[in-house]
Amino acid sequence: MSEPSPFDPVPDPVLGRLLREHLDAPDATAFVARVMAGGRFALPETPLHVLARWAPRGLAAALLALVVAGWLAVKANRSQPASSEEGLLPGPEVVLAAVIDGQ
Amino acid sequence: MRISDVTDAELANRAATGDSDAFRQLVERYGPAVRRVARTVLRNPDDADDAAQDGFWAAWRSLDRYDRSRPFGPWLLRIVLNAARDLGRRRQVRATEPLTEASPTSGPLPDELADRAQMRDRLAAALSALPERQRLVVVLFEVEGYAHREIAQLLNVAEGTVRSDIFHARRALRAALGADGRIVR
Repeated sequence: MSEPSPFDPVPDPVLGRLLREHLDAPDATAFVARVMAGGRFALPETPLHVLARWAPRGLAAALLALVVAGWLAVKANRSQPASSEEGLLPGPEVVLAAVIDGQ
Repeated sequence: MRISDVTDAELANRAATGDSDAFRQLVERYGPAVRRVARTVLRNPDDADDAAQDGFWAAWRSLDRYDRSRPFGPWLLRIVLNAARDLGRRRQVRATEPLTEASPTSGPLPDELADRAQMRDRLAAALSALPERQRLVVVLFEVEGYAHREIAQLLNVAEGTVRSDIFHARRALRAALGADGRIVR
């Protein structure tokens, strides 16, 4: 066996193995899980991510606005003074039933 | 496709677009080296893992600035080194614990195991006594397999400095490992 020189331009496998044994950390799987589950770990956001994040809230807000607008429209209709033709026109329930029955 | 078939640049590209599975593969691939380098700087194993984790997070946030034409490993290790040095500065007052989890020396051991344990202890002490740059250089060269030029670029020092650090570190480590300055093979 030749004595290894400090000038060797190539790595010393024995020294490398000993250093690796000393520095190797246990639980590689746990470390990966820790990195991926870290509280500060956040995906960089693209415009699509932003849209996806806001889509459910946007849809819910639009639905709510539609319901409120419909309710206000119905309320406004009912509070108008009765016209002379009102008694001649069918009510919304009658129209809806006719549409459903295909008449 | 196996993990080993996908290049670092490809994984980095996918991770940069938000693919966390690609980033996980990079963590799996580089986790061991990153933790070893962090331990080389910090010595305290808990601090080292904190720094390794901080380094991966910082790399994740900086993926859009990673030059895909260059190797991923040195880029990542440079970020981890900065994270480890930052953490070291913040925790300078904290007492360091030796890295002994993988090398228990208590209790009765057969002669061979005891010899190996003693050798590891001597290596740990000798490594710990080296200046930080020499520790890093010798670990990057002997363990991680980087060339002199790559280490010089990674640590932002001259190639001659790397060669000199390897010389001094090897001499100190070999002196610690063998009574006559040779490693017992």
